[in-house]
Amino acid sequence: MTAAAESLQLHTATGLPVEMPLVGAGSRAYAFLIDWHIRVGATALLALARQAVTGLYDPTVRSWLAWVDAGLVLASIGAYVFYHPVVELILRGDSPGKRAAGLRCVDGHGEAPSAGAVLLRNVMRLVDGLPLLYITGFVSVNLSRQRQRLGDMVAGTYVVRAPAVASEKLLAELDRVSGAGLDPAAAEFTALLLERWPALSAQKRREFASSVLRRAGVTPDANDRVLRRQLQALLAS
Amino acid sequence: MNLAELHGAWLSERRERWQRLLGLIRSRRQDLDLSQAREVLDGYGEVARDLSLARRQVPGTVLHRTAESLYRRLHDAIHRRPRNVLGSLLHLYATQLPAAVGRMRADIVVAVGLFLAAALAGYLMVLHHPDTGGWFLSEQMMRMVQQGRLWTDDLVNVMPSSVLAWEITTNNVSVAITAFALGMLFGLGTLYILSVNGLMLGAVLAYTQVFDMHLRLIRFIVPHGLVELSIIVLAAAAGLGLGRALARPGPGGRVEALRASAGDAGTLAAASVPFLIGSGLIEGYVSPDPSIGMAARVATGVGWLVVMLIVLDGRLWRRLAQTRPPARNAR
Repeated sequence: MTAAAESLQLHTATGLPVEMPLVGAGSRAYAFLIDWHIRVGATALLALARQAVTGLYDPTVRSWLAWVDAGLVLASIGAYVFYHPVVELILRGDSPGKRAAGLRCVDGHGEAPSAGAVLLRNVMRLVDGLPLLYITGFVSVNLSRQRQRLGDMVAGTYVVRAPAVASEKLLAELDRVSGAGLDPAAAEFTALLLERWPALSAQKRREFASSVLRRAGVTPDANDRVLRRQLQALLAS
Repeated sequence: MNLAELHGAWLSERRERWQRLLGLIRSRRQDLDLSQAREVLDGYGEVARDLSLARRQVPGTVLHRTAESLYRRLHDAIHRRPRNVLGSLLHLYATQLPAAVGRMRADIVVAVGLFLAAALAGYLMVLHHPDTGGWFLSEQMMRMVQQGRLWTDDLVNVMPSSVLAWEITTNNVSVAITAFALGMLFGLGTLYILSVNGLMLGAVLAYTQVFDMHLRLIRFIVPHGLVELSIIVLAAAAGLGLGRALARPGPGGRVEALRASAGDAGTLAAASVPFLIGSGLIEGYVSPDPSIGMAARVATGVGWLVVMLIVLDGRLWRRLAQTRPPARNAR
């Protein structure tokens, strides 16, 4: 595996590397903020519940409520301290924040990290968080060639961008922009031109449409509406 | 092949194939029969060729992005490890953790020795010179001891056990992290933390002994203290390992030595956090409870320590691992 500054390149059996774009501190911070809100929200709810229970019994007298209280303590500790390791273990390296931000955590083989790697990178959050507000992690991500914080370096993980558009949607988009008479770049340009047709001036419409049609060996019509139909026919062919 | 010129004909043939492959990889792997699995593997190679053409000839187009996305999905579908969280955790405890502890053995011995030496020094100093107790205990604590009380008495009257456990746990985690992280100062910070904590423990024991209250203090400490102090010493050992990696990196270089040391420390920390939480709960619910007798306290403290040693040793997990099918994702 070699890593360029912009992407993680995985050598494959086919000889063609898989490229996974690495993400910087900004995207990671965005994902972290989402997770932080979930974490704090869950902890706050549990803390409120614990406060309600604590007021219901006398701590110097044995009561079953003490066990409920203890359970809520564990749950609130767990919600705040163990949110990331537990959630990332369940979601194979991801978290709700990462998914919302379109990110994924992978190991050096492009796969979901192992349980040990997940735990390790999360324990190292304690160091990445020093002295406060993840300054160490922020500096590390910006200075590291592979955009890793210290926890990632130790665990051998990387944070990459998940594909923005699903393959199914891309295939549908491909159908829309394919034309037998056009190369891919020209087909996409034509599709875009048709999309923006109402917003363009008459002169620009004529200029762009004529260029595309002449390249496809079609004589452009003088009429604006016919011009547009010619482009649509070219794309649909 | 010139993709730009042959785009239409080529694409209509490939598009159908891509759609078929997408349909196959959307299914669960265990639902695919052998011929379908082979089709996915063959498709992987075909899409690699398609992508190679697209990257070179029509970069940045929808065609390129589609091929890129499909290739990544196929790679993931073929190489994705089966979900085996339990097996992965078992591997962590059965193999990685004992190996990390083994590599840190020298640092653990040094940390334990240093802590005990500091505790002994603090104990002897305050025992023979009780006025030096003020260096380690607050005035309020000293006054209480002189009046025949301990600051640990009536703890549950001041705050509920749950809050106490929470505060103690977070404090212990902070001390452990500090002892570890200060190892980045070439181990000097860790040495300071170890020495100060050892001195304090010895000094506090000695001061309470001067007023014949040391047994009450030991009674309070025993249920939670054995594991709590052990984890903090282990965290300090990890910090010493960091310091050693910085000061004497060896042939691999400082970065590599730091990575290896931090990896071992992180593995140990990941396994130790549950014990700190357990000790916090014991200190909140068991230690301050006057109705719990000494025998039960010793049993709790020693029992929890034995559990910790069993976990760190790894033999139990290895035996468990032998009864399960091998974890294919263990690396």
